[in-house]
Amino acid sequence: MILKHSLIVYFLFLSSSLNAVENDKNMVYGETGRLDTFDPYTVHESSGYRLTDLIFNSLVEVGPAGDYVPSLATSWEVSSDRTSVTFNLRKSVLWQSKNEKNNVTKHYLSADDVLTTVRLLKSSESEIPNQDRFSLIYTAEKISDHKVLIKLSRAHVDPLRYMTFKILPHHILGAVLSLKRSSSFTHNPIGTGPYRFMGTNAQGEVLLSAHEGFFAKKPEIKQVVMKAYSDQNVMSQSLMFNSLDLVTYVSPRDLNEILGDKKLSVVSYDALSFSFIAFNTSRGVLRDKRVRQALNYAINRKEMLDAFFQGKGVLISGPFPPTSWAYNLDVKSDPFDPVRARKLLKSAGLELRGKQLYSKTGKKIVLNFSVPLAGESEMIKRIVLAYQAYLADIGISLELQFMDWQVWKKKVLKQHDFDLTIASWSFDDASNISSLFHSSSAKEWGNNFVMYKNSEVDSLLTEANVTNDFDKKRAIYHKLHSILAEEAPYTYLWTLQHHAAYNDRLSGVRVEPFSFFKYVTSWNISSRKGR
Amino acid sequence: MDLRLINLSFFLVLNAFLAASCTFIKDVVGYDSGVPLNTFVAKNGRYFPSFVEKFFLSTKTYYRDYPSLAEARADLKMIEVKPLTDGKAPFNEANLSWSADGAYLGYEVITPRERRILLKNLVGNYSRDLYIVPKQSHHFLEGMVSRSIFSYNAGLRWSRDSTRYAFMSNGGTGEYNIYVGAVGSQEKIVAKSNTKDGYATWSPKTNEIAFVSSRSGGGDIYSIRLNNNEIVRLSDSPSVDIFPEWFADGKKIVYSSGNSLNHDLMILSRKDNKWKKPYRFTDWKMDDLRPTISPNGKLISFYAGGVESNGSGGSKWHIYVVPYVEGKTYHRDELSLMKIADNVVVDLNTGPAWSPDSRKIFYVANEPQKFNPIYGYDLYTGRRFLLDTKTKMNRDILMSSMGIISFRAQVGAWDRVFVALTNQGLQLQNGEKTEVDVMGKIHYIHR
Repeated sequence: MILKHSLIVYFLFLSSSLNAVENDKNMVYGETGRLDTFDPYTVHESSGYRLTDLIFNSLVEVGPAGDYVPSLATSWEVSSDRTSVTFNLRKSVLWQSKNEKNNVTKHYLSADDVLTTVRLLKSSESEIPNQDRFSLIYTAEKISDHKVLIKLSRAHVDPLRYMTFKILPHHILGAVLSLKRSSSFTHNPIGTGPYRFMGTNAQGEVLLSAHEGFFAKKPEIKQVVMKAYSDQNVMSQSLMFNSLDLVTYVSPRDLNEILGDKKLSVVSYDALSFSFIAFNTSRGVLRDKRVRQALNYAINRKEMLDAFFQGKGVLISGPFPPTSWAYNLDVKSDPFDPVRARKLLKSAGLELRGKQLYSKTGKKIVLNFSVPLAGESEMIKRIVLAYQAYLADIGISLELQFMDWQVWKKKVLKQHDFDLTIASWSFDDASNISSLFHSSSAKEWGNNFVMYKNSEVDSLLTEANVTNDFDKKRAIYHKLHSILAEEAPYTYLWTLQHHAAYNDRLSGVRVEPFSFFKYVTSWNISSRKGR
Repeated sequence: MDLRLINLSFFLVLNAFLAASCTFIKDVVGYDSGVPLNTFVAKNGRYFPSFVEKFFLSTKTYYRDYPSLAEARADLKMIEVKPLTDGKAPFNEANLSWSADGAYLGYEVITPRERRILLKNLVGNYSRDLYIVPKQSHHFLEGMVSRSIFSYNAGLRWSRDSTRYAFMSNGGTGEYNIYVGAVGSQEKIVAKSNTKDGYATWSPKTNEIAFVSSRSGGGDIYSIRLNNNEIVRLSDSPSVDIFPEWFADGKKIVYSSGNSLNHDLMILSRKDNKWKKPYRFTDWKMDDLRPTISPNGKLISFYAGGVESNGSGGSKWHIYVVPYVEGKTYHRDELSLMKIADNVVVDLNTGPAWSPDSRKIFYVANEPQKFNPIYGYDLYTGRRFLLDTKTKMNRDILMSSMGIISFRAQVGAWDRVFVALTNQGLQLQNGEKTEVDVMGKIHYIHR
């Protein structure tokens, strides 16, 4: 009963706070989808990662030039064998508290915070999606209050790449065994970042307030509200009708309307992913490289990019973004050439009878296409429909199987029960494709679900992973790009350009693909009343 | 900073030119709305006026197959489907809208940079490209402005006399205003502000347009009387008020209002020419979007749904149909029983489409295996009809007074607009009993 009463008071308070916020010099931004947790680890939505960028910090950050710059650590030393890093922590970093004005006990960053964070990241009981991204981190040891050693499970050419994880507070989580979605902390997070979490309401709106004790440049914008929407178009209209100051993602269909409004500005950023159609290289005619190549030539990727995404992206020829050091610009994307596709199919012994392709044994060529869905998934359906039409033109029939994302994961990643499928890989700046194409990953739940096996590719991937010579690594990756384009385990489709939009109240806006709000402390906003 | 100042002065110059250019065009707003609508009456053996017969050649076969009016109007029959254009150009088409008499139509053409509206009539002897650009050349400023603004024109809605239309355009200048035009005339700005105006919708009874504007802060509902250009603010909420739709009597407007994940429907009404404060028509946790009103003005349909709780990030939407009762607010316990379609594709351009006799709703189902087919739902029998249009990834559905369904569908990679003649036109179905406006007589699903 007491709890219920408290909740009502809390929501009334928050509701009035949000209204007050909207009328003052505060930033209101929009995201699609509701967040259930607000910590950097149990959250699995990109909107959650953006929000936690405002609340938390990491030991080091990736700088504008791709180098590492200090954040919670002021300096560091990588061991000569590249199996560990020793960090010197910044002193006087104040953890946020719910009520910073009152005289409450202050907590400062220490080595214990790093140890607690690593312990929770490694706990098998923690509910962290893609927890294996922390698998290289082995353990953390306290050297002194502001010095900590993090050991890796094996040597790595660039250990700092794995040190950009967000640090959690020991004084809150020190006694907690694992990080659960249902825990109090995930719903009321405490960080060291420029904004502190104030609360959320029934509509999924989140209120943040500037952290007065933030160790770096204090934010110019004193309060931030994140509003959640169930429809992207409604969110875009809310920006255009002045109810939002910023949307972090503009749907391609809304982009021209926003670009047509002189009071709005648009900033583009890399989507940090690439889309592809995957071929199960262990099944039927798809074992033959010529058939896979034919499928590449049969589709008009440029037309799909223009029709579905208003051309806002780049066609790719391999498994990297064109901006990556690993991308080999000499490898060109396969052109739309159905005549060449038919010739390749003929050379593979397949025969076109009328409008249908047949195998040597007289069997119809029908490929099973597993399509993952989440909600309406309009774009996936559009791509698959166009793809079906392109393949029909070279005589290949598709048997489409639409399924829920969870079912798809089991069918494709575990059982490998598919001929074709469509997906995207999100990547970090490591551009490490070992798990995608190394034969050792061609197993249940392995990322090499296309079952691609090539000893030359295995050797090159292994060589690239162990070398500490960046030029050599780049040369190896360029060669891998060339081989994987020729071998065609995927049809590499495109990387998309994403767009954020904001109104003329905001100034100094600069976004970073890996950390959207990285420069938020330098953003400014004018009064809504003064417009 | 310098660029910004230049940019502002550039738009001031443009607006001056636009204002000047509007003085000599034919006065479309003072048009008498007494132009007669199509008065065709269906008889045994002939169910469509000549302009429909000329466009849909299958009408003759239909006359032969169904010689009596009773046979012709029975069930839901689709007579012919055809694309409106040849569909070869590399651009998308969308958002087809019909004039009240079903003779004229407009649709949007989307290129990588621009959006324009094409007007046509079914007979094929009228065509117009609605594409507002600054009247004067400004080459002397080229390269000095901070970014190029391309013309964006959308949201065409017809007047009840079928000769005039309203739409939103940025005029190629970056300022969205409401324009009005007439068949055979030029367009002019009727609602202008330096903030966005959009979602214009013409009153079915009066010479008035309702629209959304942020001229006084957030998005609110406004109306403009075209006879004297008087603009009245109708709603004043801290939320965004959007998707206004007139009732058939021209005395009430429904719209969506709210923030974030929870929009409710609101009703505006007027008495003795005075608008009252809006009241909440729906009040529950679902997100209620894009209401449409039955042609008889007695039922309101809308999408309701929201983000799924399975962590996929996807949303799920349904269609609800609710009888309008003056002053009544519907809550969860009632609304949850008023669903007529599950898991639909939400379409914010047009909303759920009504048949002219207010008896059926047309919508797109989220059925991946069939690539989003079109269904019709008979509110009074509970029967659901699949419209076998042979098209895929359908969207933007509307039905004209003649019973012609318009929609867009994907052909290859591009969206094309299609039209499909059915037997649901008012001239054919008018004899049916349609005055069923009591909630208990509507067949809802999951009851």
